[in-house]
This record gives sequence, structure tokens and C-alpha cells, in this order.
Amino acid sequence: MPRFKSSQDILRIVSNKDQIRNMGIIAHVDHGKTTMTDSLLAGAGLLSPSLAGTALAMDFMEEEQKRQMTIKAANVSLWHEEGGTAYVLNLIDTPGHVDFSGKVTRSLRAIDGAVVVVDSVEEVMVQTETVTRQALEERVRPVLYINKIDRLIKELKLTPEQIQERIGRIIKDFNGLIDLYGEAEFKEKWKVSFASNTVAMGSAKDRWGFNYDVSQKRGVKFSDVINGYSSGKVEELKTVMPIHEAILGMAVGVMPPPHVAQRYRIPKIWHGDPNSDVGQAMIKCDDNGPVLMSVTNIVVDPQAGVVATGRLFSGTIEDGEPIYLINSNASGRVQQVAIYMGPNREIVGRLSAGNIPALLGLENVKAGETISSVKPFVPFEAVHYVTEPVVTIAVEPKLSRDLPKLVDILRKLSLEDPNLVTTINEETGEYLISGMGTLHLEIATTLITKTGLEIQTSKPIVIYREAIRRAAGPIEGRSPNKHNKIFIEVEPLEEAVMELIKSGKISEYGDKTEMARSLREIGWEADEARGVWSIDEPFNMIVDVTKGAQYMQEVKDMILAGYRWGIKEGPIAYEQIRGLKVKITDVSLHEDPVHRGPAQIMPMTRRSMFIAFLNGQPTLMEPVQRITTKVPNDLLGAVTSVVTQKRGKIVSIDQKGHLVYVIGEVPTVETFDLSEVMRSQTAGRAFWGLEFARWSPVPQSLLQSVIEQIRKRKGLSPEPAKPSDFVD
Amino acid sequence: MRVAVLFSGGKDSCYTVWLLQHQGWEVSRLVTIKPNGQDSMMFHYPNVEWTGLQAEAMDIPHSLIEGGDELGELQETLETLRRKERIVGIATGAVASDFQKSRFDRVSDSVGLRSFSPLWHKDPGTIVQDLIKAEFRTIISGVAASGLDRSWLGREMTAPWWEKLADLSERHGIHLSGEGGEYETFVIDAPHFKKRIIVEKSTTVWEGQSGYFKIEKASARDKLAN
Repeated sequence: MPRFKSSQDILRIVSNKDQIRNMGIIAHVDHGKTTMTDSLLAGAGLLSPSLAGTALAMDFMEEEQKRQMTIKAANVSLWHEEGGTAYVLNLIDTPGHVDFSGKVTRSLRAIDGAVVVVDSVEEVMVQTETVTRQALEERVRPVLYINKIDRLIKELKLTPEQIQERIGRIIKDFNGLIDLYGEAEFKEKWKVSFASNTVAMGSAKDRWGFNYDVSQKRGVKFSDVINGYSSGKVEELKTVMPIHEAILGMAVGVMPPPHVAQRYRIPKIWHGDPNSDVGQAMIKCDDNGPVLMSVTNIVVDPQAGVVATGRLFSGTIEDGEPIYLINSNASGRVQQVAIYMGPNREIVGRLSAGNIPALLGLENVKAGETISSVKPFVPFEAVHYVTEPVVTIAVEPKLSRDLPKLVDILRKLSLEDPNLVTTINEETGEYLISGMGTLHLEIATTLITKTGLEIQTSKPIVIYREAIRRAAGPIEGRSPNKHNKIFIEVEPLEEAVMELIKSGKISEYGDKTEMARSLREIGWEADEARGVWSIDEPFNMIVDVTKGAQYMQEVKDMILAGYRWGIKEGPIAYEQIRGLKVKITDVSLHEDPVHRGPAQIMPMTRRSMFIAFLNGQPTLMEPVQRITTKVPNDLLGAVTSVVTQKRGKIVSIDQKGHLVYVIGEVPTVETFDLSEVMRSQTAGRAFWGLEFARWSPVPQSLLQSVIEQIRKRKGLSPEPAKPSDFVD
Repeated sequence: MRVAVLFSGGKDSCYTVWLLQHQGWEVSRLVTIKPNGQDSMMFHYPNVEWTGLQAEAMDIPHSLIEGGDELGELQETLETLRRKERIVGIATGAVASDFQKSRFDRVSDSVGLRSFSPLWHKDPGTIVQDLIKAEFRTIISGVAASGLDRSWLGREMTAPWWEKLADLSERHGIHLSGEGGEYETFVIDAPHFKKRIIVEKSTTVWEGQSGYFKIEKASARDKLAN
């Protein structure tokens, strides 16, 4: 029987790194990830056993329960005994819904192994592929759990042979993914099989499961399962072959402890120099090294305040520890260090490398932040580049006296979910929330309403980006006082460079030599690769290729400020510029500092950049959502017609049994009433989801009217800017 | 003792004249250089042709130097003034521009004159506020900086004007007394003016990110005795 352990017992165990496992559960949406987490919790004795299966302990927010999907990565520490040794398993829940996939990567960084849950009825699905690929990219070792075997027996009424055949197919498909996405040095070793104890099967809902080990040890056979269901003795199965024994057994037996995993994972998940002192401290998982931690999750607790949870890669963190928040360039002090016991936290005073601490007392820390006791340090992620918000709504309280309360809630929301951007429109005083899709914003507003605050929201507004399609320049720009000159060229930033930025391989904080090398590899000239001044969201770069320009260092910040002013509000419709490379090819600056102040240099930079931009075949980019639908065969026509009606296109149609899976792409602006249209056209029989897919140019036929609409909303003249507007 | 003042018609040179008079100097001549082009790095005075009217209002003799080599002409003029009018020094309204000041200093040195810049390195905000308090009446005759649009042209520098400028300066990094060419001024009345200037006709010219206020017709009138 599961037993409770005290935090003292847990602390004793985690002082030996061999007895720690950091793991996660990943799956296609609705394949039973959360149900399985609950079963594990029940097995570890940290949650009342009768509740598992329906309680969805990890989905502790009511909102998630309603939608039956995990949107917040909560953490639990479990305890498990195997072969007489006690282990602590830190279980980090990773979200299955891709609208928030920035969080998936973040969670994956913290774990060394993952249980991939696959629904035996639906088999390997799109998101199974996505999450497995992501796990492999972060060097997270996967094991396979085939779920919902009960449905094969009860609903599909398959024979044992058919079941076996199906399981064989799932394992083969899954190994196919490892073959496809695994790195050469790991993929053979990481392929799964029943014999190597890397595959388990069962029913998370009914809380039974077994792998090879369990079947041997307990002498259970698949026929026991069939008998269990046919004789109505399902309850017995969970005693004979409890699911947690199989899963946690695999975790302990197959997944590496932190100090082993960090040896090969750090060079992959951290972009600094692995041979530096900090790099070595992490590779060695050194308790005596500097404190280096990646924050995966923030919860704002009514009592404890901001709670930051993450993976400690090096050092020992203690109560009262002064630390730096690298991404936000701030410092702070950890008030208390806690460990998770089930879904609860207990204050433990200190934790060492390889663990998953919960830190209290850091007020402004955000998910994705890098905590370090040393500076400078290359952060684990360039938070902002992971995702870009695409839809905005304005929120206001029904009663104006509630405004301070709203401001407070918005702050908390954006701390907990950095993909949710809250801003104030300085002209109108409106509070704006931007998110990755309509659903994302719906959840946010529901969360606000849940606090008892009555709010009004505006209609959603789609965010566009301004971009160019070809290079232009050099353009000469003069300062208003005419004493300074700048020459600027612009070109579209290469996809390959955007990839480097997105993956964090190049960043402003990173090693400059390393960045220059990466850029040279994709074909940049040496002087360009060395001249990068800044990388800005979303995916813009400014590069200095001037030679021996006098006073350049003194005006650098002003040029940067002018450039940032420009990319924040582009010349077409005052939307952000995306994917622009700005090259400064020459400058001529007045020798007297008073004649080259910010009020001269900033407008000079912005104007010449805008003229060049407007000469580069400018256009607007609109966000496009990927729509994934699952419908009965007879509704295929209805779904495809909805997608095409909405200016969308079909990407793939995949038939599995009596169901058909349709994947398409629809511009975000067309998705606002998609729920109603879909419901009416399919009589509510379609199961579907949306996620952000990519930015795509607005069709030429619509461009003019879209620009006019945006400009009108912003109170601008309907005519977009022309190069001549910026020429003196 | 006699001194000359390098006079542009703007607030700083008018203020310099007033300060020197207060300190007991006899300002015996105003020297104005008409720049060769609009973009001269040394001299950039819109409405330079109306400096004579200001000199008349202050009742001080005035020389207008035109064309050719700006600094060379200045050197020649100063030489003459030293010999014929026995001036001992030349004063400028320079506040912060090393480029301008160092060149003036060199010119005055070369002709054996002392050079003064009583506003040199004074807090630019204080200078502007002091002018407003002392009841200088100054209009904005040119702007060239982000944040300053054509609506600033022709406006008079007043206390509310100052607040707006200070706010913009914080956001755009505009030098508070316009030393980097952010704005140019023309003084129409001051405590030491015996006459005040009436602008009768004017036009504004806007060139995209800079512009100027051009006085077409103006006259000097006796102030009413009080």
C-alpha cells in the first residue's frame, strides 16, 4: 500500500542524486495524460485514492476541468520504492493544448525523461508526433504508455490478437518517430519495446497497467485483463497491477537521474559555453556551484504570493539567498525554499542541484526566467521569442472603482503566463490583453471573472505585422538640424536566422563569437555577422557595418532607440515590424555632442529606415491558425466547406476508422465566429481545436482595405505612408 | 569698458547683452554673421535680416557680416572694432556647444581680444525659465527635433510653453535651451529693449522634420512709458 512520507524523509532521499528522477507526461490532447497523473498521485499516496480518475488533481483550476485539458504546468513530487531503494520523482505536468506550446518547451527543459501517453483507440496522432519530437529535441528520454486498453475491449470488442496487433503497430509507429527525430547517438538506445521495460499499457481511468517487469514480478497476463472486464471485476485489476508501479518502475529503471542526464543535456538545452565554469557546474550538477535555475512555472498564491518553480541545474539554493533574474535584468532575494509534496508545497529551507524547488518571495519573476547567483549568465530561453501574441482585446471593469483590482489581476495573469501580454494603450487609457488565439483570451477573461470582478471586453482585434519582401537602400537620412547623416539598408531577415533566434541559439545575451559563427554558417558576410547590435522582437535585427565611423559608439544607443521606435510602429499601419534586418552602412556625425542628441539621431534613424522599408515592397502579415478537426466521415464535406468559407485551406485529410481528421489553416481574423459556424454546419458533432500556425502575407486583394481598417481604428488618415512623406 | 556681442537675434545673445549691461560693461556693438547657407554648422539664424531692428530697439550699433568665409570675416571685423572702437572683448551666447565656442575663442585670441560666454555651462532649463521670468518676449523661429512639430513655430515662450517643452525634452532628449539646433528663437521684447518689435507679417515653412518661421514684415515701436 502507498504510504505517506514526511518532508524530512523526502529531503533525506533527494540528498542522493541517484534517487531523484525528473519526469513529465506528454500526450496528444485528450489521450489521458491528466487522468494518468492522478492515478500516479493516488499510487504515491499523496491524494485520496477514491478521487483519482475524476478529480484531475493537476488541473487544479476549474477552468481547465471544464475544458478537460491542462493549461498550467503544475508540479508534484512523488515517492516510489523499487528494489528496496526509495526514489523521489518530480513530476512536471506539461500542457497538451498546443495553443500554449511555449510552455511545453519550458517544461521539457526541466525533465530528463517523459512518459508519452498514446490512446490505443486513436493511436499515434499529430500532437503525439509534435510532443515526442520536442522531447527528443531537448534530449528528454521517452517511454511509451499505451492507454485506454479498456475501450479496445469494451467498445471496439477486439480479440486479444487484434489488440496485440494494434499495440505492435503503435510501438512501431512510435519507434518510427524516434528514428525520425532522435539524434544519432541516442536513437537506437532510446527505442522502446516491451522486453526492455520501456513500454507499458493499461487504463489510466481504471488505474491498472503493466509493463514487462510487473507482469513477471506479479505473474500477470493479458488474459487476466480480459477476464477482469468480462467478469466485471475491474476493481481488482488495480490491486493486481496498479498503474503507478508500472509507470514509476519504468521511470526509475529507464530514465536517468539528474546528474547523469545533465552531462549530455546541458550542451543541448543551454546555449552558453559548456566549457565555462558555469557550464561545467551544470554538467556536473554541482551542489557547490553557483545557483543556476530555469523557472518553468509561476503560480500566484493568495497566501504565499508569487511561487516560482523550476529546475535547479547547479548549486544549493537556500532561504534568504540573493539572486539575479537574468531575463528581466533584476535582482531579488529568495525568502523561502519549498518542495512539492503531491500538489502541495512544504517549506524545506534548502535544496540542492538536480531538484525542482518552489521559491517564495520573488515578486516579479516570470515563467521562463533564469535565476542565477552569478552575472553575466546566458539565460536558458529568450522568453519573448518563443511566441508572439496575435489577438488583442480591451478590458475594463464595469465599475470604475474596480480598476486597481483589475490592474492587480492582469499583473498576476501575465506573471503566470508570459504568453499573455498586458499593456495600457497610452492614448485611450484602455487595458489591453494580447494572447495567442481567441481561446487563450477567453480563458484569461474567464479567470478574471472568476475572481468576482465584473468586466466588459471589446471585440477581439487581430494583430498584424509589417514586413518587406525585398531589400532596399542604402537610403540617406539627415537629422532635423541637418548636421548628421546616416545610410541605411533594409532586407527581409532570412528564415534561417529567425530559426536561430527562436531556438535561442543566437541571442543578445549570448556569446558574440558564437553568434557570428552561426550567422556566417548561413551565409552572412563576416562584417555583418560581427556587427550585430541588437536582436529585437519580433525577429528584427540591426547590424552595424560601418568602418571607422567617428562618434559611432556615442550615438549607438540613440540609433538603437530610433530603430526600436520604428519597429514598434511601422510606417504602413503603425503595427509592429517583423522579420526586418536593418544595416547601417555609413554615418557622418557632428563632432559636438550637443548637435547629435537623441532628438536628432532618433528621428534620423527612423526616417531613413522607413524610407528604405517603403521601398522594399512592404506588406502586412496576418496570423494564421491551424485548425485540427475530428469528425465522423459523413461530415467531411461540411468541415472542408467551413474551412474554405473562412478563407482557409485544407492541409491534410486522414481517415482512421469511421472518423476523419482534417487539418487546415484559417486566418485568425476569420476565426472569431468559427464556433457558431462549425456548430451549425456539423450539428455540433465536430471535435476541433485551433492553434497559432504562422504569419502569412495578407492577400493583395484585401491589403488596401485591411490597412484602411487598421488606420481608421487607430485614428490615422486612411492613406498609408509613402516614402516621400519621410523625405525632407 | 567696451565689449562687442556676437548677436544672432535669439534668446541667448539677447540675454548675454542684458547680463553684460548688468555687470557694468558697455556693449558698444552687436556683430551678426549672415551664414552662407541654411545648414551652416556655426551660424544658423532664421530671420537674420531682422537683427538690425533688434539692435535699433536696444539702441546699440550693429554690424552685419555677409558672405564668404564666415570665420575669416569675423576675424577681420573684430580686428577693426578693437582698433577703431577700442573694444576689449567679444561675448557670445554659447551655452554648451564646444564646437562653436572653441572656434570663437580661437578667433578672438588671434586678434588679441578677451572672449566671454556668460551663459557657458549654465543649466539650460534655468536659462529658459529665467528669461521667461525676466519678461523676455521670445518667439520660436525654427524647430528641428523629434517631438517639435510645425505648431511650435511662431509661438511665444511662456510658462505653459516651458512645461510642454520640459515634458517633450524628457521623452525625446531635446536640449532644453535648443543648443543642438532643436529650436531657434527671435526676441521681440526684453527689459533692456527701448522699443518693442511688432511682427506684422509672417509665414511658416515646413520641411518634413524641421521648419522655420519667417518674418516678412516687422517694425520697432516705442514702449509706453509707465
